[in-house]
Amino acid sequence: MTGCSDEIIVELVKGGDADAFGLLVHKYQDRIYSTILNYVSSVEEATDLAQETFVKAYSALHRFHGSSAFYTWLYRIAVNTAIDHLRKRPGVRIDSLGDDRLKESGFEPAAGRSSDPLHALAVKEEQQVIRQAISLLSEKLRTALVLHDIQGLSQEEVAEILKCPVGTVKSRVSRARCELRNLLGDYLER
Amino acid sequence: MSRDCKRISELISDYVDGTVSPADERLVSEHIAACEDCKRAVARTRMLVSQLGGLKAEVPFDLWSGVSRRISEKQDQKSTRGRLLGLSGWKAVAIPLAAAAAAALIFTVRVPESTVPTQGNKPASPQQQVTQAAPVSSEYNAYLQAYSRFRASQSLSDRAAINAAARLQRQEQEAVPR
Repeated sequence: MTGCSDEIIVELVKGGDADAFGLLVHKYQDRIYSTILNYVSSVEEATDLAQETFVKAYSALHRFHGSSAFYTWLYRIAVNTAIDHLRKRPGVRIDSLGDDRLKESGFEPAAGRSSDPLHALAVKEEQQVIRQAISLLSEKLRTALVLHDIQGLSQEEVAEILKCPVGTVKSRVSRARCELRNLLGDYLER
Repeated sequence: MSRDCKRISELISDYVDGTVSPADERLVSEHIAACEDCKRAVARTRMLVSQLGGLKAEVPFDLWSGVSRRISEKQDQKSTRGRLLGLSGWKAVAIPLAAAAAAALIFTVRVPESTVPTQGNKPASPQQQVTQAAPVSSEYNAYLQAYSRFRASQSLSDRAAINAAARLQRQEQEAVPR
Protein backbone atom coordinates (compact mmCIF):
# COMPACT_ATOMS: atom_id res chain seq x y z
CA MET A 1 0.00 0.00 0.00
CA THR A 2 3.04 2.29 -0.27
CA GLY A 3 1.67 3.88 -3.42
CA CYS A 4 -1.61 4.67 -1.70
CA SER A 5 -2.26 8.40 -1.53
CA ASP A 6 -3.18 10.02 1.76
CA GLU A 7 -6.42 11.30 0.25
CA ILE A 8 -7.66 7.79 -0.57
CA ILE A 9 -6.75 6.50 2.88
CA VAL A 10 -8.46 9.44 4.54
CA GLU A 11 -11.63 8.71 2.56
CA LEU A 12 -11.48 5.04 3.56
CA VAL A 13 -11.15 5.98 7.23
CA LYS A 14 -13.99 8.49 6.95
CA GLY A 15 -16.05 5.72 5.37
CA GLY A 16 -15.64 3.62 8.51
CA ASP A 17 -12.48 1.60 7.85
CA ALA A 18 -10.60 2.36 11.08
CA ASP A 19 -7.81 -0.06 10.20
CA ALA A 20 -6.92 2.04 7.15
CA PHE A 21 -5.81 4.71 9.59
CA GLY A 22 -2.98 2.35 10.53
CA LEU A 23 -1.47 3.05 7.12
CA LEU A 24 -1.25 6.74 7.95
CA VAL A 25 0.23 5.96 11.36
CA HIS A 26 2.90 3.77 9.79
CA LYS A 27 3.67 6.37 7.18
CA TYR A 28 4.05 9.33 9.53
CA GLN A 29 4.96 7.91 12.94
CA ASP A 30 8.71 8.55 12.59
CA ARG A 31 8.22 12.13 11.46
CA ILE A 32 5.70 12.92 14.18
CA TYR A 33 7.75 11.22 16.91
CA SER A 34 10.92 12.93 15.69
CA THR A 35 9.21 16.33 15.79
CA ILE A 36 7.77 15.86 19.27
CA LEU A 37 11.08 14.60 20.63
CA ASN A 38 12.33 18.19 20.41
CA TYR A 39 9.73 19.38 22.92
CA VAL A 40 10.02 16.72 25.63
CA SER A 41 12.80 15.20 27.61
CA SER A 42 12.13 11.49 27.30
CA VAL A 43 11.39 8.84 24.70
CA GLU A 44 8.36 7.73 26.75
CA GLU A 45 6.82 11.19 26.69
CA ALA A 46 7.51 11.53 22.97
CA THR A 47 5.89 8.18 22.09
CA ASP A 48 2.91 8.96 24.33
CA LEU A 49 2.38 12.38 22.71
CA ALA A 50 2.87 10.94 19.24
CA GLN A 51 0.13 8.40 19.93
CA GLU A 52 -2.07 11.17 21.31
CA THR A 53 -1.46 13.15 18.11
CA PHE A 54 -2.74 10.27 15.96
CA VAL A 55 -5.76 9.69 18.18
CA LYS A 56 -6.65 13.39 17.95
CA ALA A 57 -6.21 13.28 14.19
CA TYR A 58 -8.48 10.23 13.94
CA SER A 59 -11.15 11.85 16.07
CA ALA A 60 -11.03 15.08 14.06
CA LEU A 61 -10.71 13.47 10.63
CA HIS A 62 -14.32 14.27 9.74
CA ARG A 63 -13.36 17.94 10.00
CA PHE A 64 -10.42 17.52 7.61
CA HIS A 65 -11.64 18.49 4.15
CA GLY A 66 -8.38 18.36 2.26
CA SER A 67 -7.87 22.10 1.83
CA SER A 68 -4.28 21.44 2.92
CA ALA A 69 -2.16 18.31 2.65
CA PHE A 70 -2.91 15.66 5.29
CA TYR A 71 0.66 15.68 6.60
CA THR A 72 0.73 19.46 7.18
CA TRP A 73 -2.54 19.08 9.11
CA LEU A 74 -1.00 16.22 11.11
CA TYR A 75 2.18 18.19 11.85
CA ARG A 76 0.03 21.03 13.13
CA ILE A 77 -1.77 18.70 15.55
CA ALA A 78 1.59 17.29 16.69
CA VAL A 79 3.11 20.71 17.33
CA ASN A 80 0.00 21.89 19.20
CA THR A 81 -0.06 18.70 21.27
CA ALA A 82 3.62 19.10 22.17
CA ILE A 83 3.28 22.80 23.01
CA ASP A 84 0.14 22.19 25.11
CA HIS A 85 2.09 19.52 26.97
CA LEU A 86 4.97 21.94 27.57
CA ARG A 87 2.64 24.63 28.87
CA LYS A 88 1.20 22.25 31.44
CA ARG A 89 4.65 21.87 32.93
CA PRO A 90 5.51 24.97 34.96
CA GLY A 91 8.89 26.59 34.42
CA VAL A 92 9.66 24.84 31.17
CA ARG A 93 8.73 27.55 28.72
CA ILE A 94 11.57 29.92 27.95
CA ASP A 95 10.93 32.95 25.79
CA SER A 96 14.40 34.38 25.51
CA LEU A 97 17.84 33.08 25.99
CA GLY A 98 20.54 34.23 28.38
CA ASP A 99 23.76 32.82 29.73
CA ASP A 100 22.34 32.42 33.24
CA ARG A 101 19.39 30.37 32.03
CA LEU A 102 21.72 28.30 29.94
CA LYS A 103 23.84 27.41 32.96
CA GLU A 104 20.78 26.81 35.12
CA SER A 105 19.52 24.33 32.56
CA GLY A 106 22.63 22.24 33.04
CA PHE A 107 24.00 23.02 29.61
CA GLU A 108 27.72 22.35 29.54
CA PRO A 109 29.68 25.10 27.80
CA ALA A 110 31.36 23.94 24.60
CA ALA A 111 34.82 25.08 25.72
CA GLY A 112 34.69 22.86 28.80
CA ARG A 113 34.04 19.72 26.81
CA SER A 114 36.78 19.90 24.23
CA SER A 115 39.32 18.09 26.45
CA ASP A 116 37.33 14.84 26.27
CA PRO A 117 37.75 13.39 22.76
CA LEU A 118 35.69 10.27 23.51
CA HIS A 119 32.78 12.44 24.50
CA ALA A 120 33.13 14.45 21.33
CA LEU A 121 33.01 11.30 19.24
CA ALA A 122 29.79 10.03 20.70
CA VAL A 123 27.17 11.06 18.19
CA LYS A 124 24.32 10.50 20.60
CA GLU A 125 25.93 12.78 23.12
CA GLU A 126 26.37 15.42 20.47
CA GLN A 127 22.75 15.17 19.51
CA GLN A 128 21.79 15.41 23.13
CA VAL A 129 23.78 18.65 23.46
CA ILE A 130 22.07 20.11 20.41
CA ARG A 131 18.64 19.02 21.63
CA GLN A 132 19.37 20.62 24.96
CA ALA A 133 20.22 23.87 23.23
CA ILE A 134 17.05 23.62 21.11
CA SER A 135 15.01 23.18 24.28
CA LEU A 136 16.15 26.65 25.35
CA LEU A 137 14.63 28.33 22.32
CA SER A 138 11.22 29.97 22.55
CA GLU A 139 8.28 27.90 21.29
CA LYS A 140 7.96 29.90 18.08
CA LEU A 141 11.63 29.78 17.14
CA ARG A 142 11.91 26.13 18.13
CA THR A 143 8.89 25.07 16.07
CA ALA A 144 10.09 26.87 12.94
CA LEU A 145 13.58 25.39 13.33
CA VAL A 146 12.39 21.85 14.06
CA LEU A 147 10.03 21.75 11.07
CA HIS A 148 12.44 23.42 8.65
CA ASP A 149 15.90 22.23 9.66
CA ILE A 150 15.19 18.88 11.30
CA GLN A 151 12.14 17.68 9.41
CA GLY A 152 13.38 19.22 6.19
CA LEU A 153 10.09 20.90 5.27
CA SER A 154 10.15 23.90 2.96
CA GLN A 155 9.45 27.39 4.27
CA GLU A 156 6.13 27.28 2.43
CA GLU A 157 5.14 24.01 4.11
CA VAL A 158 6.11 25.36 7.52
CA ALA A 159 4.08 28.50 6.82
CA GLU A 160 1.09 26.30 5.97
CA ILE A 161 1.48 24.33 9.20
CA LEU A 162 1.93 27.41 11.37
CA LYS A 163 -0.65 29.46 9.45
CA CYS A 164 1.72 32.40 9.13
CA PRO A 165 3.45 34.20 6.24
CA VAL A 166 6.53 32.63 4.65
CA GLY A 167 8.53 35.74 5.61
CA THR A 168 7.76 35.06 9.27
CA VAL A 169 9.03 31.49 8.96
CA LYS A 170 12.20 32.73 7.27
CA SER A 171 12.81 35.25 10.02
CA ARG A 172 12.15 32.71 12.81
CA VAL A 173 14.46 30.12 11.29
CA SER A 174 17.18 32.72 10.92
CA ARG A 175 16.81 33.92 14.53
CA ALA A 176 16.67 30.35 15.84
CA ARG A 177 19.89 29.46 14.03
CA CYS A 178 21.56 32.60 15.30
CA GLU A 179 20.59 31.83 18.92
CA LEU A 180 21.71 28.21 18.58
CA ARG A 181 24.98 29.30 17.00
CA ASN A 182 25.66 31.57 19.96
CA LEU A 183 24.59 28.89 22.45
CA LEU A 184 26.72 26.14 20.99
CA GLY A 185 29.72 28.36 20.25
CA ASP A 186 32.94 26.50 19.57
CA TYR A 187 31.14 23.19 19.95
CA LEU A 188 30.03 23.47 16.34
CA GLU A 189 33.58 23.62 15.04
CA ARG A 190 34.91 20.55 16.79
CA MET B 1 30.01 44.44 15.56
CA SER B 2 30.17 46.93 12.72
CA ARG B 3 27.11 48.06 10.78
CA ASP B 4 28.23 45.88 7.87
CA CYS B 5 28.58 42.83 10.13
CA LYS B 6 25.06 43.40 11.46
CA ARG B 7 23.68 43.50 7.93
CA ILE B 8 25.65 40.37 6.99
CA SER B 9 24.46 38.60 10.15
CA GLU B 10 20.85 39.04 8.94
CA LEU B 11 21.72 37.42 5.61
CA ILE B 12 23.77 34.47 6.85
CA SER B 13 20.87 32.04 7.24
CA ASP B 14 19.60 32.64 3.70
CA TYR B 15 23.16 32.68 2.38
CA VAL B 16 23.74 29.19 3.80
CA ASP B 17 20.43 27.99 2.35
CA GLY B 18 21.31 29.53 -1.00
CA THR B 19 18.15 31.61 -1.01
CA VAL B 20 19.66 35.12 -1.08
CA SER B 21 19.49 37.34 -4.14
CA PRO B 22 22.60 37.37 -6.36
CA ALA B 23 23.41 40.89 -5.14
CA ASP B 24 23.23 39.83 -1.46
CA GLU B 25 25.21 36.70 -2.18
CA ARG B 26 28.02 38.80 -3.63
CA LEU B 27 27.79 41.16 -0.66
CA VAL B 28 28.19 38.32 1.86
CA SER B 29 30.95 36.61 -0.11
CA GLU B 30 32.98 39.81 -0.36
CA HIS B 31 32.42 40.60 3.31
CA ILE B 32 33.43 37.21 4.71
CA ALA B 33 36.57 37.25 2.59
CA ALA B 34 37.71 40.15 4.76
CA CYS B 35 35.90 39.57 8.10
CA GLU B 36 37.00 36.62 10.25
CA ASP B 37 34.05 36.88 12.67
CA CYS B 38 31.42 36.72 9.94
CA LYS B 39 33.33 34.00 8.13
CA ARG B 40 33.25 31.93 11.32
CA ALA B 41 29.54 32.64 11.75
CA VAL B 42 28.87 31.33 8.24
CA ALA B 43 30.95 28.20 8.91
CA ARG B 44 29.17 27.57 12.21
CA THR B 45 25.75 28.03 10.63
CA ARG B 46 26.65 25.49 7.93
CA MET B 47 27.72 22.99 10.59
CA LEU B 48 24.65 23.69 12.66
CA VAL B 49 22.30 23.09 9.72
CA SER B 50 24.15 19.90 8.88
CA GLN B 51 23.91 18.63 12.46
CA LEU B 52 20.23 19.55 12.76
CA GLY B 53 19.53 17.48 9.67
CA GLY B 54 20.93 14.49 11.53
CA LEU B 55 18.52 14.86 14.44
CA LYS B 56 15.73 12.92 12.75
CA ALA B 57 14.77 10.04 14.98
CA GLU B 58 12.97 6.77 14.43
CA VAL B 59 10.15 5.80 16.70
CA PRO B 60 11.34 3.01 19.05
CA PHE B 61 8.30 0.78 18.42
CA ASP B 62 5.30 0.69 16.17
CA LEU B 63 2.68 3.12 17.44
CA TRP B 64 -0.36 1.64 15.71
CA SER B 65 -1.27 -0.91 18.38
CA GLY B 66 -1.32 1.80 21.05
CA VAL B 67 -3.17 4.23 18.80
CA SER B 68 -5.84 1.67 17.83
CA ARG B 69 -6.29 0.70 21.47
CA ARG B 70 -6.83 4.34 22.46
CA ILE B 71 -9.24 4.85 19.58
CA SER B 72 -11.24 1.76 20.65
CA GLU B 73 -11.35 2.97 24.24
CA LYS B 74 -12.66 6.33 23.09
CA GLN B 75 -15.29 4.70 20.91
CA ASP B 76 -16.37 2.41 23.75
CA GLN B 77 -16.89 5.43 25.97
CA LYS B 78 -18.97 7.09 23.27
CA SER B 79 -21.07 4.03 22.51
CA THR B 80 -21.81 3.49 26.20
CA ARG B 81 -23.26 6.97 26.30
CA GLY B 82 -25.12 6.79 23.05
CA ARG B 83 -25.85 3.14 22.36
CA LEU B 84 -29.27 4.06 20.96
CA LEU B 85 -28.77 3.95 17.18
CA GLY B 86 -25.11 4.78 17.60
CA LEU B 87 -25.84 8.31 18.68
CA SER B 88 -23.02 10.53 19.83
CA GLY B 89 -22.54 13.96 21.38
CA TRP B 90 -25.63 15.85 22.52
CA LYS B 91 -27.93 13.43 20.72
CA ALA B 92 -26.75 10.63 23.00
CA VAL B 93 -28.24 12.52 25.92
CA ALA B 94 -31.12 14.41 24.33
CA ILE B 95 -32.77 11.60 22.37
CA PRO B 96 -32.98 9.06 25.23
CA LEU B 97 -34.40 11.87 27.37
CA ALA B 98 -36.95 12.70 24.70
CA ALA B 99 -37.85 9.01 24.47
CA ALA B 100 -38.36 8.84 28.21
CA ALA B 101 -40.51 11.96 28.13
CA ALA B 102 -42.58 10.56 25.27
CA ALA B 103 -43.09 7.29 27.13
CA ALA B 104 -44.16 9.20 30.21
CA LEU B 105 -46.68 11.14 28.13
CA ILE B 106 -48.18 7.98 26.67
CA PHE B 107 -48.79 6.37 30.01
CA THR B 108 -49.71 9.34 32.15
CA VAL B 109 -51.58 11.86 30.01
CA ARG B 110 -55.23 11.02 29.57
CA VAL B 111 -57.11 13.08 27.08
CA PRO B 112 -60.46 14.46 28.37
CA GLU B 113 -63.31 12.44 27.01
CA SER B 114 -64.90 15.45 25.36
CA THR B 115 -61.91 15.81 23.04
CA VAL B 116 -61.89 12.15 22.05
CA PRO B 117 -63.96 11.34 18.99
CA THR B 118 -66.66 8.82 19.67
CA GLN B 119 -68.33 6.26 17.50
CA GLY B 120 -71.93 7.19 17.81
CA ASN B 121 -72.80 7.24 21.52
CA LYS B 122 -70.09 4.79 22.42
CA PRO B 123 -66.97 6.16 24.07
CA ALA B 124 -63.68 5.45 22.34
CA SER B 125 -61.94 2.28 23.41
CA PRO B 126 -58.85 2.57 25.69
CA GLN B 127 -56.76 1.58 22.70
CA GLN B 128 -58.26 4.42 20.68
CA GLN B 129 -57.65 6.80 23.57
CA VAL B 130 -53.96 5.96 23.73
CA THR B 131 -53.64 6.30 19.99
CA GLN B 132 -55.36 9.63 19.97
CA ALA B 133 -53.58 10.90 23.06
CA ALA B 134 -50.04 10.28 21.92
CA PRO B 135 -49.08 12.62 19.08
CA VAL B 136 -45.57 13.04 20.57
CA SER B 137 -45.04 9.31 20.57
CA SER B 138 -46.09 8.81 16.97
CA GLU B 139 -43.91 11.70 15.81
CA TYR B 140 -41.03 10.31 17.78
CA ASN B 141 -41.53 6.83 16.36
CA ALA B 142 -41.70 8.27 12.87
CA TYR B 143 -38.45 10.12 13.55
CA LEU B 144 -36.77 6.96 14.83
CA GLN B 145 -37.90 5.00 11.80
CA ALA B 146 -36.73 7.72 9.42
CA TYR B 147 -33.42 8.00 11.24
CA SER B 148 -32.92 4.23 11.15
CA ARG B 149 -33.64 4.19 7.42
CA PHE B 150 -31.20 7.06 6.92
CA ARG B 151 -28.46 5.29 8.87
CA ALA B 152 -29.07 2.02 7.10
CA SER B 153 -28.91 3.60 3.65
CA GLN B 154 -25.85 5.65 4.63
CA SER B 155 -23.91 2.67 5.87
CA LEU B 156 -24.78 0.73 2.74
CA SER B 157 -23.53 3.48 0.46
CA ASP B 158 -20.43 3.94 2.61
CA ARG B 159 -19.71 0.26 2.40
CA ALA B 160 -20.06 0.42 -1.36
CA ALA B 161 -17.64 3.36 -1.48
CA ILE B 162 -15.12 1.54 0.71
CA ASN B 163 -15.30 -1.58 -1.42
CA ALA B 164 -14.89 0.50 -4.56
CA ALA B 165 -11.87 2.29 -3.11
CA ALA B 166 -10.36 -0.98 -1.93
CA ARG B 167 -10.83 -2.46 -5.40
CA LEU B 168 -9.12 0.58 -6.92
CA GLN B 169 -6.28 0.17 -4.46
CA ARG B 170 -5.82 -3.47 -5.31
CA GLN B 171 -5.78 -2.65 -9.00
CA GLU B 172 -3.26 0.13 -8.37
CA GLN B 173 -1.06 -2.20 -6.37
CA GLU B 174 -1.21 -4.92 -8.97
CA ALA B 175 -0.28 -2.39 -11.63
CA VAL B 176 2.92 -1.36 -9.80
CA PRO B 177 5.88 -3.42 -11.05
CA ARG B 178 7.99 -4.97 -8.31
